[in-house]
Amino acid sequence: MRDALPEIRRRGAELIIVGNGQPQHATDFRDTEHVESPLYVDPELRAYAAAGLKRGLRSSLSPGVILRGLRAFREGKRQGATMGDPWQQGGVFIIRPGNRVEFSYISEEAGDHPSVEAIISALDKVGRRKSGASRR
Amino acid sequence: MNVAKRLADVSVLDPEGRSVRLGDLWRELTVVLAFIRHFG
Repeated sequence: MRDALPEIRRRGAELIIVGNGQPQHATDFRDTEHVESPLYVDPELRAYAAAGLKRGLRSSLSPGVILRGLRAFREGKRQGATMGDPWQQGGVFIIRPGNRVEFSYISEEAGDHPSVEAIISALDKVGRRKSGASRR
Repeated sequence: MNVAKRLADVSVLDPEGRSVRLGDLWRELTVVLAFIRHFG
């Protein structure tokens, strides 16, 4: 998602990342990962809950998750100690002023996230709508 | 109520521990709001 940051900003939007954990985790993450966009934490998962994001053992340990995890492990990727609630899943929303939701992706399980292409394409649609371009 | 309206009044913390109302973040510009699983 962070690779998409220049493309997001070029379209006049901003990438906001919200994580689960304490402010210190966000500071560490920002420094080690060199995050350039705004970063926030939701320690009590109130925003996650309001957004309808998923929780639970099943979503964290489905066969798909386990297979993807094994593949990543074989490729040499290793999970460091997780900071925050490991059962909480994520999601992505594109929101315009006026509380207009233009895109919504609620992850079903670990490793499940929208493609950068889907995000950029949705932003392009927002741009066309805002400029009043006629539908083809 | 759509998800943006539900989220607008929820507050989160910035890395310095300051409280920020989510709705203020998209009051004037479009945001891609990405909830990640965890920082680890």
